[in-house]
Amino acid sequence: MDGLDLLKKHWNADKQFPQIDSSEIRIMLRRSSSSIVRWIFFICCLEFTLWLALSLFLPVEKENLLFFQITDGIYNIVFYACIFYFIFQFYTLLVQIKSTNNTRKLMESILAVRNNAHRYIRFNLLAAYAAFGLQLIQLIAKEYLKGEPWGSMIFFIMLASILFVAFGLLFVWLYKLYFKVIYGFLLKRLNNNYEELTRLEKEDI
Amino acid sequence: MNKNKEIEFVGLLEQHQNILHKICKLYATDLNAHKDLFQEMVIQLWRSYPTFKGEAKFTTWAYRVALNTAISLYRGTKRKITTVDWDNSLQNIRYEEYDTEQEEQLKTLYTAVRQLNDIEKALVYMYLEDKDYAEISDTLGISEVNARVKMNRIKTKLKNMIDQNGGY
Repeated sequence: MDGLDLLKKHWNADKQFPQIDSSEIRIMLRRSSSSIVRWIFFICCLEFTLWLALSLFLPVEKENLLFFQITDGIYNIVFYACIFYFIFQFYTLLVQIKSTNNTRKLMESILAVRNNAHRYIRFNLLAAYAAFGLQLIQLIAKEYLKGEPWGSMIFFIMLASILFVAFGLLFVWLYKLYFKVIYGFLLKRLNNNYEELTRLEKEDI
Repeated sequence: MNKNKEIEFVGLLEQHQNILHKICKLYATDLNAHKDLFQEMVIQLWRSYPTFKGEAKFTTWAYRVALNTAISLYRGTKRKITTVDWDNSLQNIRYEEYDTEQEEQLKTLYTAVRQLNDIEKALVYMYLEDKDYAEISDTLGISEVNARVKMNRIKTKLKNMIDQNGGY
C-alpha cells in the first residue's frame, strides 16, 4: 500500500481528538488574534502616527525669502497629500484581505499592504532627505547673500555636498535595516510560502 | 454579530471541530502549538463568518479558512491559553507515542509529512480529505495540472524520505 494511502486510511478513522465544548469555543471567540495581519496593522498605524507627529511637532524655522517660503509651502502640501494617499491606500488594501480568498490571493493581498508600507517609508525618507537638501540650499543661499568670499563659499558648498551624500547613504542603510528587522522577521514564513507557491506555478511540466 | 449567529457558529464549529484538529495535527509540532493554532483558526473563522452564505458547505468553507490561517496568517507564536478542560482533553492527541507495528509506520509517515513545507502539507491535507484536483487548485490558487504534478512529486518525496530513514 502506498504510504499516503496508508495514512489516508488512518486519517479518516482518526477520532483521537479532544472535543472542545461550546462554552470553551465561546471563550476563544473573545480572545484577540495574533495573526500577522494584526501585527502589520499595528506597525503601519505606528508608522503613520510617528511620521505625522514628527512633521507636526518638529520646530521649523520661518524663512525670510519669499522664494523659500513658496518652496516650503509646496513641500508641505505635497508631503501631507502623499501621507493621506498612503493612509487611504492602506485602508483600501487592508479591507481586501479576506481569509476566504484562495491562498495565493490572500498572500498577495497581505504582501500588497506590506509593499504599501515599504513605499510609505521610502517616501518619508525621501521627503526627509529632500527637506535636508532644501535646508542646505537655503543655508548656502544665505551665506551667498551675506557676501561671503568665494573661497569660503566653495568650502561651504563642498561640506554641504559631503553631508548630503553621507546622509543619503545613512538613509538607505536605515531603510534596509528597518525592513529587514521589522517586516523581514514578521513575514519570513509568508514570504517563503508565497515563493513556494509561485515557483510551483511557474514550473514547466 | 447577533447572539443567534454566535450560537449557530459555535454549534457548527463544535460539530465539525475535527477539521481544525486535523490541520493542526499536520502543522503543529506539539500540544502548545496545536492549541495556539486552533485558537487562531477559531478567531479567523469567526471573523469571516459574516461572509459565510450557507450555500457552501460549512466544512468546505471552514477548512479553507483554517488552511489559509495555517499557511498565511499564523505567526507561530505561543500565547498562554490554558483552561483545565482544554488541557486535559488535548492529552488525547498523540504526537510521539505509537504502539503497534502499524502505528510505527504511521509515526514514520506523520514525521515525514511534518517535514514537508507549508504548501506541500496543504496539498497532503486535501489529498487525505479526498478533495478533487479542481477543488485543490481553487483553494490554493494554482492550476489543476500543477496541483496534480506537485502531488505526485510529494508522494515520491515522502517515499524517498522514508527510504532514507530505513523504511517503516
